[in-house]
Amino acid sequence: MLGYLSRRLLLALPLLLLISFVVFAVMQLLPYDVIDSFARPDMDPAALQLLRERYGLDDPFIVQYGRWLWGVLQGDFGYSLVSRHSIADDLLTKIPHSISLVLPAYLIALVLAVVLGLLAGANRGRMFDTVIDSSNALFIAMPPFWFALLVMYFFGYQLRLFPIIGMHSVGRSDVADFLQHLFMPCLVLIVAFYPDMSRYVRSSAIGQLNEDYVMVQRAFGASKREIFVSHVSRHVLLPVITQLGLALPMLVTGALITETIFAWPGVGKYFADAVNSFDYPVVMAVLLLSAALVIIGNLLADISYRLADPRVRLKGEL
Amino acid sequence: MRLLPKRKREAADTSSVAATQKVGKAFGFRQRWAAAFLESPQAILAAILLLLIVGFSLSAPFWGIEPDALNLDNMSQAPSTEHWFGTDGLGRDYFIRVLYGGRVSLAVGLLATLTGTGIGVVVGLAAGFSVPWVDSLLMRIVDFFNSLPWLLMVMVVSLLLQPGIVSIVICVGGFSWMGVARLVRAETLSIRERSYVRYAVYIGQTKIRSAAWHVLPDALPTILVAASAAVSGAMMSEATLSFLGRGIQPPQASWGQLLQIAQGSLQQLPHLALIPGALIMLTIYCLNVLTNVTRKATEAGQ
Repeated sequence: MLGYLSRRLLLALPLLLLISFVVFAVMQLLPYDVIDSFARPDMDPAALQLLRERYGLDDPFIVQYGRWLWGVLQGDFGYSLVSRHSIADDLLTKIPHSISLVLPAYLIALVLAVVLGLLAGANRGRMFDTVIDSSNALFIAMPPFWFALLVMYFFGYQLRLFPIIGMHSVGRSDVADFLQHLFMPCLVLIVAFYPDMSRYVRSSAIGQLNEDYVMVQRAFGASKREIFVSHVSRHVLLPVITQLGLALPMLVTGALITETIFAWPGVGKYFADAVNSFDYPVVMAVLLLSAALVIIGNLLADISYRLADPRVRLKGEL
Repeated sequence: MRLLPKRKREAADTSSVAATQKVGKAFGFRQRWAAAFLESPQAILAAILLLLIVGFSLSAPFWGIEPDALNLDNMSQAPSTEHWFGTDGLGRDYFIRVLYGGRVSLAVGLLATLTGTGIGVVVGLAAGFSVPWVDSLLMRIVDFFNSLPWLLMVMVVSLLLQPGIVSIVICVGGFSWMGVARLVRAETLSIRERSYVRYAVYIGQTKIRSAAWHVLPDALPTILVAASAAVSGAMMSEATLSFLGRGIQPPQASWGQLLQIAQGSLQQLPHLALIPGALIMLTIYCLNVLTNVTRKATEAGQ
């Protein structure tokens, strides 16, 4: 197991290096740079050139990449070219913001999906199942950002129940204010996460009903309730829980669109703003973080699956 | 099984596995498809709605209304008999803009699917049918693309390309072929062991020819299901990118781009947001229903 772990981690490093290199190259190929994003026509070209030199934007590609990589290896992600804040500091404040939005939404969606999905699977073909199944199909087809606009219009503009943007009102930092701001983006994310999970739980519950152990239980006279609560639910939940690791990258960048719409000061909005202003050190840092989380998440999922089910043999493990 | 991320949802639904007798008995794929289609009233309704949406979108140039004609005396009107969907903030007729937007959205959905599926089929066939080192190289590339956070990556790549239909097709198609490649590879690995393929290779047909003539036709139903699911995925991706301002640029319209504009005047003109979003949802819903028919027909044949 340990050998497997270290091998996977060793394989992840070149992958991350490759990703960073490709993204860096793409950013370099862009016809504009950060100076263009704040240059005005009346500015002196010589002054702009001086700025470029100061930021090191004049150096050859490999030199810039090497400098950036050297910094990252020492834990220094550099400075935002626009705000001149340290990116590491920015991320440290923004990651908790994103997590405080995504984590509750994800957990609520997961619980709802498990409960409703199992109930639908147990009542297959009945009214309840039909309602759940067809509402899932509708939710899956619904663009989340459109739903966000509808929620914003009804709760924000019409009913005036919740504030439209931001995480806190100016000058307030209490929990009640935070929860008021949290409600709408959180609702949007729940509706975005829920249908896929629910559909998965429902269909794997239905799949389990054909298994031999269900027939044995029936033969011994177990009620449908007993079968579902103590047997089917376990088989359905095991993969759901072991695969939670795959959701790891979502914690940080899963709410990009929602954060942009509701001006939630998280990593997603940070990234979107950085892309629009060609702030490449920020773009690089977030992309690398996100790619690293994808890789770690996959690894976590594989390992927890292995731990939960001893029959599973991982690739490359003896 | 994994808890599937959104873009891989097509594999999750097993409820259609239990295909009915009638579908199972039909012989060819087309007959099975027709049987599965005709026995589901939902599918027939979806097909009619989809035809209506496509028909109206294609008819856009025949309405004699200029989509970019400004009319500053007539700004921000509510829907009326003269302007069915009202007018936008610049006095342009919104009905015709929605029709033109539909053309772009549907075209991008189709073209991006063709691109993505095309790349996926070629990569999958190559990986499944050629020497082991090519296979593992191609699969490492698939892994590489899979570990990219796609929305972030697509946003960065879209900066590089001249905004417009072509670049969005490249962006969406270029980052959505991995699923098809895996699927086709798996199919190829099993199909290439069948006797007629082995015979074709034995009598000296080239690998490319055997792959195209003998393996591809057998993998076609699987590819069709994946491609069909990919259309709705591609349309959603286009809408997302355009909504974030990284896709279709004004004055050209797509449903996602109309939503982006509508966001600014949401408080005064909610119908500008309501209409294109509802059309995206309806189109994707209908496409998903028809995908399920195709999947049912495919599974019944196996």
